[in-house]
Amino acid sequence: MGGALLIRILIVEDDAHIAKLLQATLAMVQYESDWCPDGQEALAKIQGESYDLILLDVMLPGMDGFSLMEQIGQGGTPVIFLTARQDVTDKVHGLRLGAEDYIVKPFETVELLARIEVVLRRANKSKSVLRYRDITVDRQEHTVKRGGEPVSLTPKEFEVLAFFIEHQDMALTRERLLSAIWGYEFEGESRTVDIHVQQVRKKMGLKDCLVTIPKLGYRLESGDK
Amino acid sequence: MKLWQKVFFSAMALLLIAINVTAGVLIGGSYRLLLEQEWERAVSEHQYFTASVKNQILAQRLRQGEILLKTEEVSALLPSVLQNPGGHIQGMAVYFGDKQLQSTNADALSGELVDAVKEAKDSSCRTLIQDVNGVSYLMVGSTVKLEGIDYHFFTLSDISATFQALNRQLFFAQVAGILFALLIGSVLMLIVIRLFKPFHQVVDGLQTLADGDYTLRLPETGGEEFKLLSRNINTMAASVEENIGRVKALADNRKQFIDNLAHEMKTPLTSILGFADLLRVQKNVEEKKRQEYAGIILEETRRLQSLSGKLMELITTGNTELEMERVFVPDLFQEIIQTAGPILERSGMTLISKPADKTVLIDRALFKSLLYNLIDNGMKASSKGDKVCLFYRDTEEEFSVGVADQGIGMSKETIEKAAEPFYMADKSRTRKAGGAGLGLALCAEIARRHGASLNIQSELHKGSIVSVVWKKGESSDESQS
Repeated sequence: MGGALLIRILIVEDDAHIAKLLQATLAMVQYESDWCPDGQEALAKIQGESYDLILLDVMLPGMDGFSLMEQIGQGGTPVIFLTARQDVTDKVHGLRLGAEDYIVKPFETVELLARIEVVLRRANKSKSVLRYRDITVDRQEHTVKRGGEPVSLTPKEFEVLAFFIEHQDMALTRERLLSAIWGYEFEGESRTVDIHVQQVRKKMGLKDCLVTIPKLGYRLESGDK
Repeated sequence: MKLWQKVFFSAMALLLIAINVTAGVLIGGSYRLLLEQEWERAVSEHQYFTASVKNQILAQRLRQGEILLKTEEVSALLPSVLQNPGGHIQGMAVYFGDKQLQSTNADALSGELVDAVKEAKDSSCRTLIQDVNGVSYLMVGSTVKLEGIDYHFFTLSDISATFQALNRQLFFAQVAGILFALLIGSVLMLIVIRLFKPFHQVVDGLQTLADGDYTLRLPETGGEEFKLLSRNINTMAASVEENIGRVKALADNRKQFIDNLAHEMKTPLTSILGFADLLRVQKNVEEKKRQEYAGIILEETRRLQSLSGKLMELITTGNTELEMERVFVPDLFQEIIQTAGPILERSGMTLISKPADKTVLIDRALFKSLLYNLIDNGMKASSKGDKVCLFYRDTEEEFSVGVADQGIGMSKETIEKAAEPFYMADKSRTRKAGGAGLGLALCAEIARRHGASLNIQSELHKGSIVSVVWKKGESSDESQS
């Protein structure tokens, strides 16, 4: 992948297993990550180094996530709260403090990545040009080229293609694609997904690489391994 | 109508009635007195007048030197003698039989009186008060014998002035009554408002209480009754506040418990779900990583299992009926050492016991699980070569069964929170050992069900003593030798 921009993410989480899970998940899409299990320590790290995003647990030893958020202040590094607390008031409190998103544990790997992607894009930190073999996707200009030749895609097909390129070698379920591209509220049929995937496959000549995985969904294979 | 208004208006009404009755009685009395005086004067003037007429007739007879004057002579003489009645007399008339002999200003004379005087056989005076054309007349009539013949004499006097004076008095009394009533009314109003002030304080205070502010205390002022009322309301508010506080603390506790429980369940779930998902969505996973992920999933699943087990225990401990029996302490300790001893030995520790020849009233299975829990805690805090001691202790006020260790001990702050559900002094260490932070909470619950309390004594780096303590004389579980 032509990742000229290196994304660095700070994980503030006191549970070692969850931290390891987050690191492994982020590594799948080539994000670099640092782990910090303690609130106080995290504050020092944030002030000392520069990160593109902070994944912040609410219940932390030393200093809880909300206090830490207040210390960081709004407008700095974007923050996503990761918490087991499901209270709506907590969620409102977190977002009011200036967090970009509020993800309740437990979460699915791809959902987490999709939401991180949204926040990074909003902060203009994600790659605007995606490349896959001879395909180039420019998010800003909203253009797709295959071998230098422009290809015409509908907006949804464009999103589907971009989502597959961002999550190569990962099995994406129809539900995941639905909620990532059509929105969380969209209760469409998975047939919609199948039709769009087939269109993308046909238009972009991805017959061999965009494979169907029985009972699971689809996967775009990078062919690196 | 409000109470103070009722009190004010009824007092006011009674006062007005009293003033009016008094004024009426006084004025009525003075009216009667005045009228009597007028009457007496009129009668005496009438008598004086008739007497002077008699005298003049008598003088004429003596002048003429006759024994009796003739009737004609008397009639002729009358006009001259009736010239000037004098005094307050304004009019007069003289009748002889039905014939009016003489009349001056006597148009108002009542026929009624004339008839009454004619019919009367004696010479006493008759009187009548009558209003004619807006003027009040007091009329007096009497029969006078002149030269053996009856003549009827009438005099009239105007007493309007007396009635006017009376009316003035009445008017004055009314005006004075109204002014007086206004004055008294304002004073009464001030007094009533002042007396009712503490009452309003109480009412306002109760309203505040009703609105949910139980911190309010009323000032204990005013009369004795109000002081008592305020004091009782304060006592009530205090007890309500206390109970509300207790309920709130309970609710907070419950919320805290549920928050903690959610956290403790979701943390392992996140790892399990996340790593399983990683294994599922990735195309290629290295063998080393696969093993690591599977290991974490297994570990976290065990943690969840332990949590759910402990949770079930905690719930059932609170609800199940205890099967109490007298257990000989050395027997109890022996059973525990048989089971737990080898486990400690495997970790290089020793379990020793210091029993006494006593019995305790316990639910054998439940109490043993409590002791296993305490031994488990002691073991986790100790290191190789340490001893964990199971003991029975008896003092004057209490007796206890407990476990002492020589392990890492606890800080003061930790001791306070140790028995709270989900509290972990060292999260990572507790979790590594498969704990959920429920052990001591469970022990405390079991102790409570036995009518005892869980006592924790500890010092950092020196060890801990955790015991179940029964107060002597408080329960039926007292030990016997």
